[in-house]
Amino acid sequence: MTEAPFLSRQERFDVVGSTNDVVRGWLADGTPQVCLAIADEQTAGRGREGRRWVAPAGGALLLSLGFRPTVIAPERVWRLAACVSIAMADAGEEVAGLADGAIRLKWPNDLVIESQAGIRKLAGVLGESDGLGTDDPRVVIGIGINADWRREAFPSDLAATMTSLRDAGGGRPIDRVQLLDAFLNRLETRIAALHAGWFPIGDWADRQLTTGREVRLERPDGSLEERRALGVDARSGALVVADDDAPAGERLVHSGEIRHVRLANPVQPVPQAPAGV
Amino acid sequence: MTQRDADPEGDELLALVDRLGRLIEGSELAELEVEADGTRVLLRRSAGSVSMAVASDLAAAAPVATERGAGSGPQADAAPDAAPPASGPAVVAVISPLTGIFYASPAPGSAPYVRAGGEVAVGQVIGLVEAMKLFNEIKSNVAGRVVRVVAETGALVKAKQALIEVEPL
Repeated sequence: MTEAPFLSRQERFDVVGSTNDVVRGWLADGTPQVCLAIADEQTAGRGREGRRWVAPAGGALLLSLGFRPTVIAPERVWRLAACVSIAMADAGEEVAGLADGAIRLKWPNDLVIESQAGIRKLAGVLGESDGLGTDDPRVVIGIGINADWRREAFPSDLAATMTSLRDAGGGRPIDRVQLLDAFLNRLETRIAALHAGWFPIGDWADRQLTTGREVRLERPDGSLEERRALGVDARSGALVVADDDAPAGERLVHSGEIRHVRLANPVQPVPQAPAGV
Repeated sequence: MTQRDADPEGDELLALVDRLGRLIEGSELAELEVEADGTRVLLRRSAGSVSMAVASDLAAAAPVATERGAGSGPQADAAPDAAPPASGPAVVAVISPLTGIFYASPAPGSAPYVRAGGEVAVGQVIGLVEAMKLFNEIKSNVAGRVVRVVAETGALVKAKQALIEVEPL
């Protein structure tokens, strides 16, 4: 693992409950930002709404970063997660030999790849924080990206909806150390810019899968609404959808208002030949 | 881009509180009280943060804390989780630092972080506010008895909006 000067602390674990919990503990103990925990395997990885995140040992790059965003307003802290996602998308494309822009974001920050096979999830992001609005804010951003995971080893119930860098790159092995180094190199630049008050909204918005497309919004009560997604809001990060009843013909949709956002007319899946090795 | 504005009076009050909050943060004042047109806003500085209490007819319609006791004006409508009205000193609101979705418990179906009538300590988690898939733990900056859980779980709360009301002990 390469030493990254902007990191105050970095540790790799063979097996850990949750890298987010490790980093939360470090921040609580006074560790300065930016700190990084990496795991080959998590036994209690979490996703949204308490869903489990499971990956075989060595198949994914699982990491969490700890920040102390004293110079970032609480309403802008989401940009830390956006920077992590953009940096990982850039790094993944380089390491897997994918075209620029091949990795898209499923609003707000999950990484996906869209192809004739459909939309498949590549990475998930989960952020946690406490102390926002005080003089001791702490933020943990966790990301798990399917890296050297072979398609033949995907769980059968997830194989149609997931992918990995190895899968997307035609079966070429993925070096996780190289992926980590590429990620950290990009992240350092983006975090420095964020602390200087600059966030590249264009980089984040351009990768959004939903922009300009019809989306189906599922609310927590199960009701559905179809809207055209116009983009993302630079200030809040909210999804912007067309709404003729709204004053400007558009309105913001915040992440917690909906359980899922899906494309109303995704690419129709076609049979795909098994990925080579 | 414009967001549909369903509560202009509430937004005005929140904007006022926001301005007063910045004013007190940039000063050495320990307490700031403003009264106009039947609305009274009281902000107090505590360690590292500012708490607020609001009393007015507007407060009953807008999702903000209401100061009770000492003949302070009408009380808010019944909340989802309310203890018997306090008759002692004014209550202090724990406010959301950002706009997002409020969750009163750590997971669906689990026990809430705090209940009306229960005690809360400084630094104790009182709820989560999710914004952009970032789950923010909100901690109390006041110790006392929870008078009311103002925010409803799963509902959108705005920055500076009261989440719970606490009677300081």
